[in-house]
Amino acid sequence: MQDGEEFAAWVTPHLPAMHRYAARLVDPADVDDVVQEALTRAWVRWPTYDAGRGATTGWLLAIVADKARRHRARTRVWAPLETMPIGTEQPATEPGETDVDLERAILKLSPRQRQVVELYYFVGADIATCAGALGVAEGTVRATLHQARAQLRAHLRDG
Amino acid sequence: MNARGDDSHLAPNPGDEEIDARLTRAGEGFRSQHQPSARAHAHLETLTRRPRPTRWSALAPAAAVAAVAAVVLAAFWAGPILGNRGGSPEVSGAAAQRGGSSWNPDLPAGVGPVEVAGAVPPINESITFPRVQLGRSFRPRADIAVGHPYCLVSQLDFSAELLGDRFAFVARLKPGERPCRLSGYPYFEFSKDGRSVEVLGGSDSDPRDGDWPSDPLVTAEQPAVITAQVSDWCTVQGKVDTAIFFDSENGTQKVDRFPAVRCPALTPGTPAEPVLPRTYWQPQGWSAEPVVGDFSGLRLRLVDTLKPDYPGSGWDGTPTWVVELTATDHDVVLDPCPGYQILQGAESLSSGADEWGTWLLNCQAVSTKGSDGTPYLAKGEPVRFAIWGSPPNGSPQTFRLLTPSGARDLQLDPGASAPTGAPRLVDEETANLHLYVSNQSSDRPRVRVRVRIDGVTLVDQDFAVEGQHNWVAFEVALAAGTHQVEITGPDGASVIEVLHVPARGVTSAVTNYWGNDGHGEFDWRVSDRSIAFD
Repeated sequence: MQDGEEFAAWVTPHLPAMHRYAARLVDPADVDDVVQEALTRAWVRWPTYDAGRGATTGWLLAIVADKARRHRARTRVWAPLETMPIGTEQPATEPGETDVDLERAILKLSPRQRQVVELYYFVGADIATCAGALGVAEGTVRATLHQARAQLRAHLRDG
Repeated sequence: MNARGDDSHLAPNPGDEEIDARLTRAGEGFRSQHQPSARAHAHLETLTRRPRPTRWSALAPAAAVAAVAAVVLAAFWAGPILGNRGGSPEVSGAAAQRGGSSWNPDLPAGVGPVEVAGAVPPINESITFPRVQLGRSFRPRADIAVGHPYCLVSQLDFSAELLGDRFAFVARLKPGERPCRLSGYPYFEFSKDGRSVEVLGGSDSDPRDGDWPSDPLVTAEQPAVITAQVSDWCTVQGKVDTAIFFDSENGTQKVDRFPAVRCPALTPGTPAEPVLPRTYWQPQGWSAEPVVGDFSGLRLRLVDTLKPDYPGSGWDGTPTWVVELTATDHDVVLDPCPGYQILQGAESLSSGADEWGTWLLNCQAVSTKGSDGTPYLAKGEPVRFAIWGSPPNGSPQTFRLLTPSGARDLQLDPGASAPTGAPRLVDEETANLHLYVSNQSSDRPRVRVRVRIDGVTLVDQDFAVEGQHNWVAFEVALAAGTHQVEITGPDGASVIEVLHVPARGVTSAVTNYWGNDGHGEFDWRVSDRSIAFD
């Protein structure tokens, strides 16, 4: 089906970002479900996508975020890291090693700050894509990033 | 500014660069470990092989121009009326089988009451439930409430107190009652000087990831506190006569002993009427009417909805609607359980932010049950369901408000009636039976399958395996009632099933041919919901 092939070709380059964002938002076991639901949604909604309104990745990440929220609301998963004190782990120095303290500090950010950090640092989205995914101005993303880093410094310092 | 457009870390703070480097390192490590799974690619391949589903908005242009949201009582209204509580309701409707890797109703579950009351674990005594101290931050622990039965209004006493610009509602368990958890919004309305006013729901009642309702536990010793914020408190100068009304089984309870509130002088010219946007939604083309049809006597109202970008709101991400079902003059069996379709959007649906969703109510969690366990809505005992919504794409800045006097009753769409006449293939929009056929054989790449309904051949063609992901859809018009479905294939595969088609709504059915070592058979599954395959 021509339409389907076009969609697949269009969305495939963005699968890594969608997967990573989902991996930041839900439990590992649920990542595939969320990505799958997001793909289904994107497929249905594809005719309404307007390239003039923002980057493709931003549009798809917004769908991922939406599906992740629904998923969390359904499953009500509680992150065990949140209950652990900050300051008990050393910063990660090796590639692929989890910076546990940093992750705990990120969990203490406000939802908006956390989302910007997830998108920018962990998904690897640029400012414009972050703005598109969050539906805010690029300046808001920069300001939120700045505030988030300040918060993280404070959390990591205070423990 | 760096290559990705961020110049915010160039602010003169050396610590910013350090944390930026640490985040960058963590992000690179994370990305190196997370790549799309093969399942995502497989799903994409399967997904795009099928025609794109018809969008509801295309079928409802009038609704598509509505401003915020629409709730429609979904299809398949059927079910007898109980004359007395505790009767023996007759179960009706098509039997639905669910389960298996290829069976995904693709519907959000988790519509509250989420958990079925019944066997519950004891309270975890090791968790300290915070004491109520009005005026201080209080965060009910939703996690320890999980598994406990939902509170009935009759189990609770309420009181309220003004805290600055907020009210704190205290729910206490009556003596002798079991611990329970609150779900949905508390039943209250707000009035000021005899007029209803809008109230912001307290967003700090939930310890994590979303606003109230978060199902805080209520015990006799540790009542739950829910805060609410008055959004237009000082638009009227001078003393404010305040009262809160709680719904209860015995009518409305008024709590009016609140301290006087003195508002500062208003700027000349400030309008007396609040300019806040209306929080309940009444889109064009929809009006208030009770439910009609087989559930006659049932009333439905949307108690709350979401509103994006409201001043003073915090980012939430999990806005909530509350839908109330009320039986007016008799008990109503909730079997089948009603479903809802909700259209949500921002100010302009042309932005592409509109979205339809279908939610399943968890009627099994309703506390009133017949002698055989069938849930029903008892006369005069409203049940509220919390539905977790989601902000439209691109508008994560959302919040919710409690409505001043409850949302208005919603007009209900009874849905299209089942067609009449002999079974026949029709277009998708006309069909009330979506029949899916596939070949799941391990040794026959192509099989010929015939499907007859009431003796009428509707399917007679070859089906290719194509990786076991090749469900072919047939759109069928079937009269309401009971039908005989006969399916035949190679290697002795044959099955005769009885299919019940409701007077309204759409039925989906799936049959798969399974063949191995010269033995063939069909399975047969029916759902009253749309289905998807993975």
